[in-house]
Amino acid sequence: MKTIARKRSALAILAGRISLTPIASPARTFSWVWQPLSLTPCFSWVWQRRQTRNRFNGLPHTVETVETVPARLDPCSTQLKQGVNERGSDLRPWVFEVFGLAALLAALTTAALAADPPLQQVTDPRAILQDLQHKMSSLGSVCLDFTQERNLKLFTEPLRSEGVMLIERPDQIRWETTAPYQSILLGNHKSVAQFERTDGEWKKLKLGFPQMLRRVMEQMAKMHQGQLDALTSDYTISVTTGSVAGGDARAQGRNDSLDAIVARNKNAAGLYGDARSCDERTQRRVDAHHLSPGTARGEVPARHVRSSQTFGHRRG
Amino acid sequence: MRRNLFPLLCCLLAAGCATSPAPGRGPLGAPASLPAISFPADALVTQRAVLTALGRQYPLNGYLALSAAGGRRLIVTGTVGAVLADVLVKPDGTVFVMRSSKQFRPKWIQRYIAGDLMCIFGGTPDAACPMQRLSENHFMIKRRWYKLDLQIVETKPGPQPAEMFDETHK
Repeated sequence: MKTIARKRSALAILAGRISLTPIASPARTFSWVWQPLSLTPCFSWVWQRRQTRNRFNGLPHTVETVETVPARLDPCSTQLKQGVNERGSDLRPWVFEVFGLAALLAALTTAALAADPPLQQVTDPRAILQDLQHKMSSLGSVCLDFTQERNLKLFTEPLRSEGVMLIERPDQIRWETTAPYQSILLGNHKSVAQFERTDGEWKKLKLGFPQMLRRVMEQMAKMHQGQLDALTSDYTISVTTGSVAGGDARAQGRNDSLDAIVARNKNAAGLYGDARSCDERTQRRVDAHHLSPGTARGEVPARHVRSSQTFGHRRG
Repeated sequence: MRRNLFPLLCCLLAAGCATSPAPGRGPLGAPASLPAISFPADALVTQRAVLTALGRQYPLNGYLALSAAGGRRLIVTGTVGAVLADVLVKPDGTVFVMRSSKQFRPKWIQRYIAGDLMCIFGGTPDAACPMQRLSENHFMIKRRWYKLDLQIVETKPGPQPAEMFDETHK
């Protein structure tokens, strides 16, 4: 698997197992993940209740009083600490797309490419991508285990995490990290929710950047639906076919902030053909965690995998 | 009849100040039954934390390299692996911000992240450290601006690369 060995972001699926290896220059790639924090949100937002007349003596005046107003989701410009911790809400969600793109394009590649000749670069991948889209349209859901490896040059070993990902039409996504910590990210086109397991209990987070996560979820859903046309504005997608593994698809962010290589599948059945075992694994996992994020405390066991219990959540 | 309550108030305040720590709690707010905080001299410690600020919560990953010489290098990443902060604390306590981000400015890293790092992993936390140890590997730091709920999820003993503790090597 030479693809996996590359230093660039890489995602490979081997018999349903994904190994993801981000990137040579991660700081540049991921430097704008968050919505900026503000220690003084709108503190001097003094124009909410302008009074031009003294309420006691009735005389006109131009003095404004400072009042505190509730924080807004988007940071606004303030007079206090201006320029220190305030930035506009220039949300650039490319960074989140690496995972979704990797996983989904891997799925697409698996579904479409089953040939076995040597690797060949496809000059015009549109026909293949259309074929992928057509074949993906018959898929209702995807379940896969993943191993995410992150190479930081300072560390001798990659930073590794593992988990399970489930995607269901039209836009239900469950991204569950199982090691070394436990976390679940749920999303659809309306909302995103995240849960953390602490001291044996699941706790729902009040996410600080749901808009960006939502964007990622949308992109992942599009990829799952095979709507690659919607992604070409953000990515350069190239396809290589004919390998022993079945094929190779690469997506590179157009703004040089994202590199994702997705690919090859030795065993398509590992991802799709063995859906039952994936269901069983998920069922056990869900039952073991007694997780139902749709409930307030998350302590109701899920009864049906891929039902609303598995994907359901309240608006995050 | 009007009484001067000031002496009584002073006595109450003095008594409050002299109150002993809550029973069952050791130093730094740790339950007395917990073992002392200790880590291998050379190790890579993986942490998962939830930062709460202004009512919002941000999951973070922390990767801390410890050297036997006393150096500490902490790299903080976000949900999908973005490096949000990178700080090196030399054995003499000197702090070097190796990398910052929009989310964590250099001053914040120097003041808070390095402070919290020394608070938990410094070995000799000062009295002003607002840390509470909830379980053996679970810590809570509460400051005015934020709350950090941190768990140590993995500790890999072993020497770390020397350049990790070299401030000139970025």
